[in-house]
Amino acid sequence: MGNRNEIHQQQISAFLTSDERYSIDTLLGRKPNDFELNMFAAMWSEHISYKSSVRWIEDLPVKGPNILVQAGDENAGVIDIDGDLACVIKMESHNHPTAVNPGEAAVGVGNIHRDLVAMGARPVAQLNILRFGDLRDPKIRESVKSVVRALGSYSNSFGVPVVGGEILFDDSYAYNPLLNLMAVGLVKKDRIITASFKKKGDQVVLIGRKTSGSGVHGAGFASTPFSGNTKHLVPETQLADPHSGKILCDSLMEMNEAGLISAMQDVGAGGVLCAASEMAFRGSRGVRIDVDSIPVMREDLDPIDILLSQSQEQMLISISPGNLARLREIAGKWEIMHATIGEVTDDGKLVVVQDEDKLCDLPVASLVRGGGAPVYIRDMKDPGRKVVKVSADEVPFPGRLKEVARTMIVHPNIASRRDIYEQFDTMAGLSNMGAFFPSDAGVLSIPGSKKLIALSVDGNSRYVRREPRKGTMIAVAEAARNIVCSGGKPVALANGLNFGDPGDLRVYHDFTESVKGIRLISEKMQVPVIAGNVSLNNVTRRDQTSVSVQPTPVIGMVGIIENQEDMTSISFRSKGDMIYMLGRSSNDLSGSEYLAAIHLVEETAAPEFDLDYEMQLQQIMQTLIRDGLVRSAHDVSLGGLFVALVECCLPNNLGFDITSPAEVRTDAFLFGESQSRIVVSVSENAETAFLDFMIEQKFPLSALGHVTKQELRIDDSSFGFITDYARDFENALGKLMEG
Amino acid sequence: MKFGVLKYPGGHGDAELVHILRQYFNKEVREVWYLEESYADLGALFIGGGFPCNHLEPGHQCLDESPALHYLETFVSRGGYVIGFGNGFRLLCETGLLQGELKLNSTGRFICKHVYIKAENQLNAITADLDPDEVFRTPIATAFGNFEADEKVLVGMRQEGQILFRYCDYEGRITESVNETGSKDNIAGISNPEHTVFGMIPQPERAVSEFRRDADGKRILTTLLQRIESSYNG
Repeated sequence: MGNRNEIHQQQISAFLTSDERYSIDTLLGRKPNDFELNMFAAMWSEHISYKSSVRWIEDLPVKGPNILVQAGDENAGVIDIDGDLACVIKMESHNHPTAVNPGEAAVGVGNIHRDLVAMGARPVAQLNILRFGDLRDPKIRESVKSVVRALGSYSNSFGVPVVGGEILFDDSYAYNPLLNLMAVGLVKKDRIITASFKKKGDQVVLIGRKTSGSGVHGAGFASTPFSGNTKHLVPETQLADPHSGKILCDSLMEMNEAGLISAMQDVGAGGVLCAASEMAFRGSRGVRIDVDSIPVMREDLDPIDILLSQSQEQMLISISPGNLARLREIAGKWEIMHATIGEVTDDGKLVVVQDEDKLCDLPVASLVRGGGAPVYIRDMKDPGRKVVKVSADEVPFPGRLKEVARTMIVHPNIASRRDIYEQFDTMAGLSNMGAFFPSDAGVLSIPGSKKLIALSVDGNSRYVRREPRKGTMIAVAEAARNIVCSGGKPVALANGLNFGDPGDLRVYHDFTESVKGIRLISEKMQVPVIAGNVSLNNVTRRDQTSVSVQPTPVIGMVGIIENQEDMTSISFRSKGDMIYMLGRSSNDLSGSEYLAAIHLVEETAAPEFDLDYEMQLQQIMQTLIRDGLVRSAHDVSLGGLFVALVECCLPNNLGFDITSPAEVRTDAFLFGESQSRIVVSVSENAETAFLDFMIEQKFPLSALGHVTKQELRIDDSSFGFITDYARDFENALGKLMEG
Repeated sequence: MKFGVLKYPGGHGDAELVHILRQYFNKEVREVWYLEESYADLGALFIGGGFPCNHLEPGHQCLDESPALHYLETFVSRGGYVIGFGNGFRLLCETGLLQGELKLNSTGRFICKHVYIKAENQLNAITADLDPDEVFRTPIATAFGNFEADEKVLVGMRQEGQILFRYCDYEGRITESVNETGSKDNIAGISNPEHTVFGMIPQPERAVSEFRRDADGKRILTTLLQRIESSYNG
């Protein structure tokens, strides 16, 4: 045990600054003992306290007409859906553990679903958001395979469909891959559970698997830039067990249905300590915990290990003593471990006892975010980056556009994600409407309702690099555009903010710019933030020095489709339908994958973006769908118009015949990533009404051409057949993965 | 008659089956908890996808000790039908009610996608009304869909008409390239020699929605349910 103590000492000095140790003395009016110091090290870590980010995050708009539980108030946000049903949304990151051990990705899946369960909700959908280094490196390919396998190993057994996601590759993620998850659960409004202790005397019950002793100080680790020098801080690997996770979920659903649970929280980073103190703080209560009553998997654990262990498939609940018997009965049916480990008090204190000894006795508030935990506005500096816009005139015309088209279609960031998503059960629970009918957003049916939930994620770090604020706004706009193209209306957004070392003045500046971007667009579009996650200290090594990852904000969007009939696919439907593009093409190539892949120009501005214009586009698109004037809709994004058109053709094996405009160079027209564009197809019958409406709107519109049987034609020149593109596009990523 | 769906801790395919049988086929359905010792009130029992075993904590009760599974043999001998989809198929092989075994897919990984299958004959309740030339698009979602049996068993199966479905392309050609799981002879599903126990990796219950343009599974289930009901005599 001496060794373990030594490690904890090292962890404390790594995770708490001398200023912070001084603040602890001041807060308590005394020196904390070692046990307490360990608790502060965990609770004041960046990962739990959000000390460097909270000041910025709290400026984000979180209120809205559909919002039942605001972001930040509980473990997940809740949106009003229909009748007595509500939808719980959560966004999480699992970057550091996945970087160290790809198998840990499974732990992230379990964690996020338990955050939904903690609200009383049944998990119904998951989106996986991934970033890796260059696939040409065999180590990266191995890492992708392991992470994908680990993600599937949990969600496939747990029975939650993966309905969307994103995977992008960039060298900056070589040593620090990113894993963000978004998850959705459904709950009856009168069964929503909070994570606030209620009454004095309520029993605190630990339920699920026994405490493993692993994952101690995982929160601190996740708050430290990881490098060769910090290896000793890596916590023991945790094992996720989807089978236990599913049983835990089902048993808690039954207990909740019976109205037994008064408060609940997942035992995550910071272990029982974090869950108990946060629950006590939210409910303005105190809590007393008896360490010896916590069931453990092994006997050699110190009290502090037991309290801080991030054991998997374990939750903390409070329950009135009168309900204990019924709880035992249900736990017995599911054969699930449960133990009363303490009780709720009303003195606002956290007391941990072992036998008759008090290991700690301090105000709960001193430990937690919103209480005594530090809040930092760190130094920052606008790096004064040159923002270089690139127009088509400034790069040579590549000629041979057919070859460029083929190159773009098999590009790792553009090719079909089939090789990845086929490893996930996308149909579990039977609610995924898009398993065979792809839309720009994942679409879920809701039992007993004619409404549908639409979900999308978006984040192009290439746009954020030079212009973090604008790049982040584009991510929000695009995520919303996806919802709109699928037939929905955006109602709330979730953000996953992945940045480097907050001690780096430029990194911190980028982070604050990104948050400001979200705030601006969120207020303007009246789409509040329902969930968020901040992951800082994502750092990679290059030539012996630490380099922060590219700023990577990812945006998840939640929308509602009012009627099943409004659900709209990206897919062209039949030969002869007219193809139109809403929005305008331009010679702007800034930020495009084309510019990076073909012209090797990487560090440029984000594409041009005008928010008012974007909002007008989304408004028009919503009306077009509601009035039944279009047969398909697909937004133009990564890879530009050509890629978008191929994607429209694939599901029904159709082709297209289009003409490019004279005023835009053809490569920019086909591959530029000008924002605020949507490709729609219109049937002959609806064309007059469609045009009448569009003329009234005075919004830029181009008639591109029409849908053909199989051939792709641009300006009367054949670009080949859809079957060839289908094969290349569908198989490219699998081939890259084989090396 | 009443249909049953086996429910065990940690599984998830049971809820899908109950929902589909009730909502899409209007059947009377009850869940059979894995600890039930008999279910003589049922005419047929369905076993869905999902994972019955906890592989991390040894000693946890696995389905080997499930009374409901022990009763299966009696249930079948009394004229009951048993149908396993996805991992339910694997479970039936493990209990010995179906021959052969389901191994890890030849790709070594989980696969979820739509595949094409066609009926091998019309000798089974689940294929009786299906045209053997017709192709059905059904989803699979499995890591263990690789059916294997020794040649002797396979010969017997062919002779007795125990092969239900085989994987094919969208035009009905049975080729190796569409054999996603690596199954022997492209086999997607089998029955016992008495044609009362069925197992298949494709999950027709997941393809019953016309709105999603994904309803081929409905035809397969319609055949199965009608045939079982018409042969049921309490």
